[in-house]
Amino acid sequence: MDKVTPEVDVRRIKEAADRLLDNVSQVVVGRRETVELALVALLCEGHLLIEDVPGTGKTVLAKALARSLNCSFKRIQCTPDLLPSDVTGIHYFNQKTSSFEYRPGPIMANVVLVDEINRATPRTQSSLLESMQEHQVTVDLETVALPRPFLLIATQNPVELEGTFPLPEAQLDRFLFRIHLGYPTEDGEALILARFQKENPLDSLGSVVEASELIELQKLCRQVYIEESVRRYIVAIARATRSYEHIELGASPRASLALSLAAQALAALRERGFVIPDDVKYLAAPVLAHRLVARTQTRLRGQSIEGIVQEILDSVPVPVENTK
Amino acid sequence: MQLDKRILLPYLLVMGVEGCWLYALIMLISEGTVPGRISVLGLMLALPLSFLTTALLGKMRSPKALRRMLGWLAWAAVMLIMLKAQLYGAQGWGEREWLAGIGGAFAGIFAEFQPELLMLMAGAALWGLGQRLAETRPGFTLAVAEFQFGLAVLVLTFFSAAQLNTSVAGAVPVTLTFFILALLGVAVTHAREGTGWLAGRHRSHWSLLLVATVGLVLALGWAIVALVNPNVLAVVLEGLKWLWGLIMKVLAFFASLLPEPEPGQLPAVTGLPGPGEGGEDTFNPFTFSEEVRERIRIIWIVVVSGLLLLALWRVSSQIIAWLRRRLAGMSGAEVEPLSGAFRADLLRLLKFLAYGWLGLIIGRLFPPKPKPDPSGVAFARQIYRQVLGWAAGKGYRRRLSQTPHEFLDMLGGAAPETVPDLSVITDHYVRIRYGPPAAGPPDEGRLKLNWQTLRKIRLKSRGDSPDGQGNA
Repeated sequence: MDKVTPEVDVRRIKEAADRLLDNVSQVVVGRRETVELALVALLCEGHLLIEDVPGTGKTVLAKALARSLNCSFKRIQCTPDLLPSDVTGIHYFNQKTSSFEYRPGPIMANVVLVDEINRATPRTQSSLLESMQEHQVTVDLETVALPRPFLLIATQNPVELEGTFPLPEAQLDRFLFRIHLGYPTEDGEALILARFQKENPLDSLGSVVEASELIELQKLCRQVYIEESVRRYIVAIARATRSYEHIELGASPRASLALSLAAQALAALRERGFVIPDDVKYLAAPVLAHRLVARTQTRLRGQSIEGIVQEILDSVPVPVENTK
Repeated sequence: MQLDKRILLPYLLVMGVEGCWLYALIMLISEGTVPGRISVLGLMLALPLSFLTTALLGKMRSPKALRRMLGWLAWAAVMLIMLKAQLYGAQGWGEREWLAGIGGAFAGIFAEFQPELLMLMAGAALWGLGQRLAETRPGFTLAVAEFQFGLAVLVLTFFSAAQLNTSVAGAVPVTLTFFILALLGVAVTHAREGTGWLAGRHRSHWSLLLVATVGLVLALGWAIVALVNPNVLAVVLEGLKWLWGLIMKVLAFFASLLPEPEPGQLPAVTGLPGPGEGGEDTFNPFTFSEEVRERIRIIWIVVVSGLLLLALWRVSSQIIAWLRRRLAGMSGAEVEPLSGAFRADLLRLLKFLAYGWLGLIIGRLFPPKPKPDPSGVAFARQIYRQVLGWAAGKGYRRRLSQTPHEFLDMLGGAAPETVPDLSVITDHYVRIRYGPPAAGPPDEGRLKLNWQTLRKIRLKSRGDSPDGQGNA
């Protein structure tokens, strides 16, 4: 049985998150749920994979987050000729000091946008694996820690798949969420035109949360209480994906851990010191969908992974009182 | 409860099923105790009359206790009419003799088992069952349970009839009617719900489960028939006689300690033999006549059989509930063949059953002291269970995959007047159930008030259209 845990100061997390949300919403119009997911990823040190068509605000979102946190931002535009060293950095010989020095690559930033990640070769894609999982890079046998906080936002285009390299399962598993920004509504699009008419609001976007405060908030999020039955519920969902008839490859323990951490962050965002099954259900599709591999027949029938996840959620009992 | 006319057919089918096994049982008792004195078919009218009366009374906006009282007053009136019609048909309605005859029949109850008593007892049982049916929503679960129970009762009734050399009139048509109505009821309710605990991927298994249940009941019935024969019955009866003799000796011992009463003039009691009239027919309060003993023996067999039946039903219901939970959890998933898993599950089930019965006996003998619940957790959870049960009774059963807030949205969408109170109860429950132990006790007074307000809300019964999702 868990020890009695004191109430987490979720109000502090909620206030910071509201400031961030309001600040980012000045440039990312109308996609509040998606921005909220991005905040969840920030709070539990996860990474985002945004799959969307061009021009929907993926870069704007990444930059807005970085500016709101007063953090460094770097962008990596993936092309087939991008090398791993272009990402992680290189050791070069400094003639002045007659020694090898490490020149950090664009990965060395708090918020890194990897644009069109599926255009990079698998070799370059795999150079991101260590940084995403362990928050460090190894260059010429030297391990360099990445700055904290560290958020990697990767994008990929669901159309124009010619000449691309689909991300391997090992890499997909390291993204906390896969989200879609989608097109804004009619009113939202009109508002974007109005806001961006005279100037780019991103230029005047200030920071509302410091990086150090974010690190503290990340630690606080881990203290959010998860009841044993809710934990078992998360495990039951993950196990259900492994034996579901339409799924070839189910969720890994990393996925269930990701779901658990994300649920803690979401509970904190909703000013609650404990996780409830609704949090788990809300996050199940964004966390699990990209980690699951559907069977060929299922894909051919046109059934979406999100739909399969919903079917699994409808089949797993929620831990609630039973009536006779 | 207001009847939903759209589900009249399931009501009729379930009533028919109940009527069949009740008819067989009452006919057996009637033939064994007062053969040919009463018309069981006429008595069976009490079942539909009770149903209709309860349904009509359900339309009244009055407290449930008052409606119940009126219902039982109606029973008394119906029984008087039936007694008059069946046993005192020759006398006019205006004559008082038939009323006196009924009263006299009760006075002579220890001398002879009277048909009036049988009619009243059977009538009360029929009335109660009719009331229960009118207040229940006939779903798939009820139809299956009635089929299970009725089948077991029929088997034991015919077995008892065979052992006692008594015939049950119309056994074959009654049995055929029972099966037809039961299977129709199961099919109709299952089709209406479209969902249920055997929905989705396990639709094809429902027949197997039903057949397994029927087979289990029949197998146990045949086992009883094979093992229990007149010799065994005689041994059991000898044992009971010995026990009865022991009790009589103890009572006689205590009676001997009392001072002898002074001889006095006893008031004349009609219907009883006077003192000194007839040697062997002298009324002795501590012994019964052979005729009465024979009838008591029959009733005792039926009572013991009924208790066995209840135990059997309880065990099979628990087995089926266990199967339900397993199936709902798996939902068509492939099961990893872990070695020893089935044996472990079975042992766990048997332990649960054994400790359940043992706990029941020990719990009765040594009732545990209720533990104080300072955190109010048990109270909040109990209230929420009651809310779920109340909603389920109105046709709004929580799906297994529904969270409390989703259930609130579902019920609130159907009945917005429930939202204020249900929100409070749900929020309390969620905090207690999923929050840390130090979350603080719930506001018990407020919870009670909210629950009382919620209970008074008249929910419209859920329509026929299923929601297409698995229900708990």
